[in-house]
Amino acid sequence: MVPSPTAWDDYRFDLQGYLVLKDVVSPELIAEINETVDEWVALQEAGHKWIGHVRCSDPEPVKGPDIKFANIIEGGPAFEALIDNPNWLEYVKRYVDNDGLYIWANHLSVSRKGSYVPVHSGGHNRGYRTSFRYHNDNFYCGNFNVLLALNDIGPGDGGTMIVPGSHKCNVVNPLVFEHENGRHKTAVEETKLRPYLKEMHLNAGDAVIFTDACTHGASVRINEGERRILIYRYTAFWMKSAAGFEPSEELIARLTPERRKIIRPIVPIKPPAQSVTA
Amino acid sequence: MTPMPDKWDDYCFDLEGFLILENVVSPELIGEINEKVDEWLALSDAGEEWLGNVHVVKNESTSSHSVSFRNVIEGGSCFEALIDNPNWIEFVRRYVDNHGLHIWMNFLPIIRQGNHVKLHSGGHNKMYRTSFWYHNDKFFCGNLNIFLALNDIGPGDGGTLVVPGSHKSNLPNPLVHQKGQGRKNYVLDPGDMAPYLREVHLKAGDAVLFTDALIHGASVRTNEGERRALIYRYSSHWTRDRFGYEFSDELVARLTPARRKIIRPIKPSKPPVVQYA
Repeated sequence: MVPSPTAWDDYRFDLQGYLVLKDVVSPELIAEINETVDEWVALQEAGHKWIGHVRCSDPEPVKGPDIKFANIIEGGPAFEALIDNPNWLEYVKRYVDNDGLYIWANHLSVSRKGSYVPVHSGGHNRGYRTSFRYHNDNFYCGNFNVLLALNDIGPGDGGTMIVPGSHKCNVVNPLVFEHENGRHKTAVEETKLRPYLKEMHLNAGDAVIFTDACTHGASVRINEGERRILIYRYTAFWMKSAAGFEPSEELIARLTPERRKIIRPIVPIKPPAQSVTA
Repeated sequence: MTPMPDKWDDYCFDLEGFLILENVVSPELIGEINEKVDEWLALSDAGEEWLGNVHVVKNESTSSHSVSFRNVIEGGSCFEALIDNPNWIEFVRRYVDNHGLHIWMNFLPIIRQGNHVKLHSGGHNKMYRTSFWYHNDKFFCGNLNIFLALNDIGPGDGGTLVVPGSHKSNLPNPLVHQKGQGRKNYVLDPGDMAPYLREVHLKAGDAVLFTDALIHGASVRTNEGERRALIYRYSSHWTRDRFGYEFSDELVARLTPARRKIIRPIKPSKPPVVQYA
């Protein structure tokens, strides 16, 4: 049976802005993804900027993951299978926009010792990206993250941190946004915000789904090794790619109709190669 | 200097719906109130229902307070002093309604071993009592509770339980508000609610300030002794008393103008005793 959000899920998502979904991806698929990541990391470290249609990023100038692979949906069937993963898809439909979906950003990050993600976002910003609305039994999130753990993430591993309930904030967080370097400081130091930050500990194959309106970041990784996560960001079908990627014709051709509808919900309309001048 | 809510207080109150204010009442005043409560309990045990204008309400059920003294503002100067307690009044003004205040309910509940208060309320109910609005840098809470600890409240003492953030809920909590016979008591058996409940531990003289839109209750008191608290509920100046008590003319006469304005913000307007048709 396809998991669907219950009244209790709705209540908790509304209350805190996130849910943890357990065992949403099989160990076999997680292993397949990790094998691909091993290859990509080797290529990235050998200096490659693109692996097919997958783009490798350099370490971010401030702080963030050590390696980030963007546009990973082009990376093979393991990534395509997750586009409409039945273990989270009904949640995504319920909380994004039942008028139709689109994955407007997708990436995979590898974080090593010392890495963290500055604390950012919050419901005070009423921009579409951080919108959270509920009306007439429908939710509308402008940016809904599915963050999938590709390995176990426990204490010291650089887990995602969320301020529960911050998706509905009316006022800006003065520690994060009004102090110099507040976004960084609150990620790396014990500040007054720490009691409000909840760190997500996940097993490989678990996911945390959250509205991007939640104030969030990632704690400092102090352990050896890597934290590997995959993020698919869903939004309404009329949005476009955050980074300007266009799905390749090869990808579009091989996707199932359901997946194609999420990756390219609006088929481009172009004039024929030869047409009269306007 | 009178404590004022700062930006961090605003953020925390907006986020979670409550704030803890430490050391807001002196040990001397707490001692004075407790002496009064000792006298009242003795009178109550002797069968008295009214102690002047203070009303004693006893409860046989364990799912509420054991004894509650209502209309305690009539109980003497120690209670009057708290009407506009400078250690919380600017917080109350900021979060209720800067157009004017009224204490629409005031009581002093006693919790003994076995007592608890069921979880209730929630932001899904948009009526005035559980309203929480923010607009144009102003907060408007239809019912803001000041819960003052009269003795230390720690684990096993029957502390106040809150669900942080529930003041903004769009949906009723399906566990707490489910209908029918099967409804569980989530204080006695928290189950799935446990991760969302926070128990508030206080020292005598500390207060927790919270919007009544929060889902709240009190945990089971498992320890011997009593939990003593004083609750002043502030609302907008145009509300009336929750239970229908009318403040006595003696009280109104002896209050400072600032306190009188909170207790009787609208002066009764009556025709003269002798009327001409």
